[in-house]
Amino acid sequence: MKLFWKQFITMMCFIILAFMLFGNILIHTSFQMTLSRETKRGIEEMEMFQYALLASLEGLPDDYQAIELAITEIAKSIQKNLENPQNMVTIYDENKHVLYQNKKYKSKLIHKKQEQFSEIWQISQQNGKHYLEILFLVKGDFGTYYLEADRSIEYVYKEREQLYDSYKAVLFVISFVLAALSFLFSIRLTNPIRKLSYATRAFADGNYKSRVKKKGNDEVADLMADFNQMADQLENNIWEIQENARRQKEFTEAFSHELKTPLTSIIGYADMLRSRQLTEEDVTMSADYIFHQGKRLERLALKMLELTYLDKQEITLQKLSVKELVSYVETSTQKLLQEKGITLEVQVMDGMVYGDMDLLQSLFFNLIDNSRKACEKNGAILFSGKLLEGSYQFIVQDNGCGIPEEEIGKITEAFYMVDKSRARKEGGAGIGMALCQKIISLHQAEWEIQSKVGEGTRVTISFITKERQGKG
Amino acid sequence: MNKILIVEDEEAIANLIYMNLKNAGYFCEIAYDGQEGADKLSENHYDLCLLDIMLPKINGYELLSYAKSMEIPVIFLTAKGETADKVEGLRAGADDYITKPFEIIELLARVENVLRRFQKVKQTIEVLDLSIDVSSRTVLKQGKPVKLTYKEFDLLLLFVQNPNIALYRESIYERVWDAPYIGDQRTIDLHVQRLRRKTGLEKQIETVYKVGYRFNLK
Repeated sequence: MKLFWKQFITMMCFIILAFMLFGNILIHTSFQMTLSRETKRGIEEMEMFQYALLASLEGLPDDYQAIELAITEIAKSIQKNLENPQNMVTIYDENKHVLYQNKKYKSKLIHKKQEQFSEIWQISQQNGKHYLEILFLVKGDFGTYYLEADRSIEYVYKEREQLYDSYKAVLFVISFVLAALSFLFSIRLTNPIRKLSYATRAFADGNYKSRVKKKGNDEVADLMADFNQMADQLENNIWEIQENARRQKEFTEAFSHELKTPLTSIIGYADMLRSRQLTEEDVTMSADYIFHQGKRLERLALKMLELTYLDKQEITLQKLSVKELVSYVETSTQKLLQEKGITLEVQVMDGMVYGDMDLLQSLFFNLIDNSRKACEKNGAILFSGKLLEGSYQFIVQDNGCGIPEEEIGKITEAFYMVDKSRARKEGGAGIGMALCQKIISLHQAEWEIQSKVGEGTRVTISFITKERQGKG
Repeated sequence: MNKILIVEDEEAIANLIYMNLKNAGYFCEIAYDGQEGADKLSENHYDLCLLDIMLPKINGYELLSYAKSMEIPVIFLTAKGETADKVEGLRAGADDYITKPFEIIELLARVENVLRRFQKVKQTIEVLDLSIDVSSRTVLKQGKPVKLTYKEFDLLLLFVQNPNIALYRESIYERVWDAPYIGDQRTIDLHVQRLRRKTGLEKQIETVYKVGYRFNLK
């Protein structure tokens, strides 16, 4: 059963039960009150009768013989003066013989009388009607008599019936009104749950933007807030997973492309060499293509190895002399730069950095090599280093072709090349910056790339010194 | 002579295709990026365009729709081997595709196929005293019909379309029998012998020692 119906039905049951109980108690109490009032009135009235009878009887001479006759006469006269003369009055003698009766009525009360009493009363039912029966003892020098008064109190019961009837009608109407109200209330109460349910289902169906609007401050609102928080987290995670998958896919695609392109040339030229009779010139050319494309594959393989090696590596940071590092980078890039007529200016303050010598050499070699690729003939590269407070900052700056602003973010993705044909011509595989990124994160260093198309690129790398790392 | 435009940014691959198509008797031009390709397409008329998908400046797909608007058949070259990529290329309007790396005879066969489909080449190939009708798969020698089996016809077509090229037995098997070669040398040799006898090309279809056969056409 739905929570809505549970809530609705429970609420209705309780309300109707409460109303019934309350109504019954009310009607019962009111009935009891009317009944006791009626009884009291009856008794009071008959007490008057009793006194009047007593007084009349005591006024008679002691030896009055026709006492029974007199009683009848006295009763008749008293009867006339009663408030309700139609009420039944019966007078019995000591032996319970009826002396006087104004209306025919058979009561059993006289037989119930106890030894010592002045008055008793009961409610009895005759012919389906309720009567109040009161019995008095009238005792004096004149003898012992019983006075019984009986009156119909049916109207009290009738009144109760009527009350019940109208109460039922009211309860019926109220139930409907309450049902409607409670229905609305239940809807209001379960509405946030329904909303939450829709949102969850939408989320499950892949709409990761699905959220609920939090309203109020109750438990459901808390649940909504929790849901939203969970959804945010999940959306984030899913986005990350998708992003990773996308990057992985792009990497695989790019890798397969990078692999297949030289392979196509190698297979193609080799196929041509083996199946056609070529001129000597063509043979040399084909062999040259095969050689260079093979070299390209080799470069790719080495860089890939380096990249995967870095993935698994945990490096130990050692204290390194900046001078030593820089001089290595200078010599290793010298030949390549000279070929293209590019000048490398080095302005490095002496200092110490913590890192892995081989990796840092590779980092700066790659950066300078990238600058070389970006530069035209007679370009200039500035390699500077500054010791700052708590860190050592390297800058590699060139006056080459630059990187478009929107592409700066992507250049660290493996195989991403801003100008593919230019990168090719310069012998790039598109892995250099990805390598640099890895090395930098392994050293917990930070870098920033600033570039302007046509003006050049400036890469700033800050190494945090060990002392500060320790403190932080 | 059919004129073919090669749009490929890899110089080595462009040159490879160029050399082979030229050898097969096509007139070729090379464009090294999308922009150059678009310029060449608008300036000259081509019977076929071989198009690399990943191109600098103008994307291969854009160039593809440009070429299609000029009703030039397009074969795209792709390094992406995934079926989805092929389907995407074909849906974009390419007439065929070649996945890198490819063999030369595959390249030539696909080029020939597309050109024939667009009726840019004659339906009949005239070689020496033979007249080969590709669509009805009939061969006439000096006007008289030569009865060839299905495989023999394919074999003849392969030789004729790849003149002066040493065809390796495995390549022949893969193309004609359309199955991986598992050293079934006798089948090929038998078919070649019967083809030689039926067409009278005993001298032209030369056995290349340890390799296969070459159709010499001077």
